[in-house]
Amino acid sequence: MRIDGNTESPRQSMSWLHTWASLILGWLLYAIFVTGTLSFFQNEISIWMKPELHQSINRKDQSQQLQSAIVYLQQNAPNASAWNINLPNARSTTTDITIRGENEDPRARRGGDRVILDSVTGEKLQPRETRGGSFLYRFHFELYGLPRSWARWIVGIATVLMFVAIISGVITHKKIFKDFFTFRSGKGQRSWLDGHNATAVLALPFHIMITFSGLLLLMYSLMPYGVSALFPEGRLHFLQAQRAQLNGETIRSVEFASSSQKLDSSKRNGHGEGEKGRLNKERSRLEVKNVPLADLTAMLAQAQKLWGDNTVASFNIISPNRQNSEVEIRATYSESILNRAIVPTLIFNGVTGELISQPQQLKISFPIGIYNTVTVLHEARGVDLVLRWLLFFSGILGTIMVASGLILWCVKRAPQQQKQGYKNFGYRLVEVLNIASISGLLIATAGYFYANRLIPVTTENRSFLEIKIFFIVWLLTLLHAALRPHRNAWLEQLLFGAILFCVIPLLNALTGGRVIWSSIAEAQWVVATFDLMSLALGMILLFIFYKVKNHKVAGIHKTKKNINLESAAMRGEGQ
Amino acid sequence: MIDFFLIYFLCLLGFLHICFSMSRHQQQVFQKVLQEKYNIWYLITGYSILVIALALSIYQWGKSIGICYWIGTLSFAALLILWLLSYYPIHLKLVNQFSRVIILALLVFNLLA
Repeated sequence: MRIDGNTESPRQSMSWLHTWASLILGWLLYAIFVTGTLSFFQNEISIWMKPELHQSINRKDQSQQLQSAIVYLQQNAPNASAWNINLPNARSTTTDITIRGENEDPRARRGGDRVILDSVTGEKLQPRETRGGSFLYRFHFELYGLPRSWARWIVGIATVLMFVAIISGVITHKKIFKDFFTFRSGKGQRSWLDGHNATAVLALPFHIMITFSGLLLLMYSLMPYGVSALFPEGRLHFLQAQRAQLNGETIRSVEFASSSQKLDSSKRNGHGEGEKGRLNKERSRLEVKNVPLADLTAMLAQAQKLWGDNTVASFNIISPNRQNSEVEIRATYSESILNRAIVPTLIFNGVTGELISQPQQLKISFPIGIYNTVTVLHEARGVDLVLRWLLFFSGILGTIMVASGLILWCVKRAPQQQKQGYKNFGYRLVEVLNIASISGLLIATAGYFYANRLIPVTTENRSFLEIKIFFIVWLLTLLHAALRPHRNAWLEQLLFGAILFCVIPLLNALTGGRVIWSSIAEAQWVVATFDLMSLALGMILLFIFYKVKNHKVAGIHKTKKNINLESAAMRGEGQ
Repeated sequence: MIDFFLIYFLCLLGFLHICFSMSRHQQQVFQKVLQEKYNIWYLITGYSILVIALALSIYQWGKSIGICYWIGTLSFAALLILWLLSYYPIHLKLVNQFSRVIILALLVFNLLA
């Protein structure tokens, strides 16, 4: 029942909700979708933005890559508490090493000194200072320059509205199955609605997954009280407890203070000897002797044979050159997404070279299984390249869905605005914000890539400057959209964006990156794909530009100018 | 990659059959409405092919990842049909033949390799 007393069908009320819930934060959602979709290839973007790394080529001979890393480590950090070696793979070109100092926790998740090696020559590479793809990644859930919890709340609210939009959209849609394959082109509002529906319905499972998991990933920010009540020491303890539970341990919340290591060692020793094993380990750490490291290439061969297509990704060598040393080898892809990207792992004794433990089955409860499945997909953790591309293109469909919805709002109201002869403030605001977000953000992203290559490498604070340029360009597109007539603003921004993206491969070659034919010939797909995708995006923008340019304003959609022209022509005929 | 294309073309073929079962699209593709009995035949075959694609992708990648592959592939199989149906409806008959040939070829290749 509405205020005016008329009855309203559920579909009508949902349609109202869908329209306004989507509009209010639609532009933010579009920005989240664009930057989030790009984040599926965060690594690749970062590598493209560090052209110093393009010289390193993945020759696919892992034992040689491993050897040159070990040579470097033995020369430069023989006494480290741990070495972590990430071999080059389909998503990186270099050998990335993390060295942990003598007094550091060898199994820490963060910290340590990072060194990047040319995977062929073993030479140390020094990339430029840039936030790379991680800026876009951070932006998609923490925005920029706002206090972290504020930003997460804003993104959280936008995500809730997205969820509302999905559900109300499904209810509003009249014939999901009947119109499943239907797209009627060239029919104005009808076509926009069909396009909006198609991108929404065809990738509906993706949209639900990405929105729901987005909420789950933010849940500790949005609903912190349960965790803080149970774990007053902080969230870290909660996460440790969660991990321990996954590993099949019973929770003893008091002991979590130094638990991560303890649990790991007891797991490894097994047979209830955890406590004893830990004591032994601590004793042995006091009286370590220097012992040469076992042959790592033999372990590599064993892992390669076991995992086949799933290539070896990384080596974690704990206490290298000492009698208590251990080597953990990890594969690239996980075999299931029910656990949070726990990839197949082998653990060897670092002195004798014998295999200590095989991968073990984890116990996963139903809710944790759901949480893991959707969040692992959201973050594309440990998923292979084909699935990553599927997620990426689904992300693009989501982006188009949001954009077409925003445009549809205007298209639907355009006739009425034309009839009254002037544009309402609200309508004009939506028009301007649509242009500034849809084409403006793409231009700003291109601006970020250009800034990355054109700001001199030695400039101080250059990564900050890059981000500054991103926002300045974005602001300029907003000004441009506000000052120019609607149609011109679209055309100019589309053309400008198209040129920017089409020129990116050239920019790459001219500013120290690997030129496209060379990156293709050397199978350095990380770099080549970035260039090719930029070119493709540029072409698509150019195509849209011509579509809009040749678009005849039909029948009732006549603009004032056209009416004037037509009446002038008619008068001319009459004379 | 080959397995992915096999799943993709199976989904394409499945959706094509479902599409052919709808009278509106029959008009677009065949320029006439088919007899009622064909509708049901196309519908059942279409869904069966999709189920076969699901089974194959679970066999290939395991339960959790296989289902994700299948759902992701479905979106883009349907998208191709949507695009062709809007701009080149008559060519869908060719696409139908083509995807059968591709599926056969990929199956033979998989068995031999």
